[in-house]
Amino acid sequence: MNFPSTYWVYPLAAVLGYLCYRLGCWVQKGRTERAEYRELLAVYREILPKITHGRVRLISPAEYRAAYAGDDPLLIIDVEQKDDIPRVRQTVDEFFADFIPHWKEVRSPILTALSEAVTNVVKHTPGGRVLVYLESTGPRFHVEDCGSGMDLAKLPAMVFVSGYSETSSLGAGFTVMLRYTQQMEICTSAEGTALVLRTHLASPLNRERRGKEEGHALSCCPAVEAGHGCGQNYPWQ
Amino acid sequence: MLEVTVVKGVPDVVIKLEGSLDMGTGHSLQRTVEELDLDRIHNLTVSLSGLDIIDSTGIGQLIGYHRILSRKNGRVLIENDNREIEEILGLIGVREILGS
Repeated sequence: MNFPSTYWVYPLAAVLGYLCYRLGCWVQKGRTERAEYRELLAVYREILPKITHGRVRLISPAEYRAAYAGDDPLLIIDVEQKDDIPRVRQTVDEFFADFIPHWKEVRSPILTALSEAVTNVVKHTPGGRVLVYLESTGPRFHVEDCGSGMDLAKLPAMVFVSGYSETSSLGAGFTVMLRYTQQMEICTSAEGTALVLRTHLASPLNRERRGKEEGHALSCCPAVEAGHGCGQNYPWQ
Repeated sequence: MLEVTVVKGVPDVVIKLEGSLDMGTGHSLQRTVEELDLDRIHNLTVSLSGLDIIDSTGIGQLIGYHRILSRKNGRVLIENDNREIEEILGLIGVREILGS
């Protein structure tokens, strides 16, 4: 049987038509998912500060950069493996011992909260770093990672449900961080997550530890860099 | 760093911890428990008074031992008179979980 030479066009058109249909479905799905993500983000951004009295905030990468891009950290500590968890704590502990009066009395909850954040980086991401700042009210830590971001849909459970975990771990990390910090800002996207832990040395928790004394204004300390970068690109810069 | 001292051997083991217990240091405790052989341990008493820091992963490790021991009617018991350590144990509800 002789086919006209142009017959090959029909099966090709059918294949191309099918591929276009699949591509359209994929694009549409992506658009829907992005729209859902934006919607969820908007809801959480509004609700989280309200139900936590401003203690937990969800911020966008643009807001994170706008708020903190100009700040020079006092310390930059890379995080990649398990051994880095005690190393980060020890570095921060030794650093602040010289600058913060009563550091001994308040160090434990601050270092425990930091430990939880760093543990999350080691457990769930390829690596990250800790940036250390000192505000007039107390230390501020930025724990940044190069992971794939937090699942927004699971964020409330992660933050508010003690014992929520998708692995065999306890799932109490956020409970501890919430208890031991004054404010927590979460900035998460597909390029990574940055957690800002703000501590307040004159908070009721820390006043109790320091014998209810009023907090001293902290003098600024010289910038010291323990290390710089881990060879990864941070979306926050 | 974590220093692990075996005060009493099997079957009712008593271990004293000093330093910090977290994901980065827990391997020292794990090694000691493995050397003692978890199958031969009935009750495991862990003294946390000498700890400087314990986080949720360190607490999870102790609860993990408790889950294993409770399958053969044993348990993990915690001894502690350190106020800061007790606060985080209370926050996570460890004593309720361990029934101690």
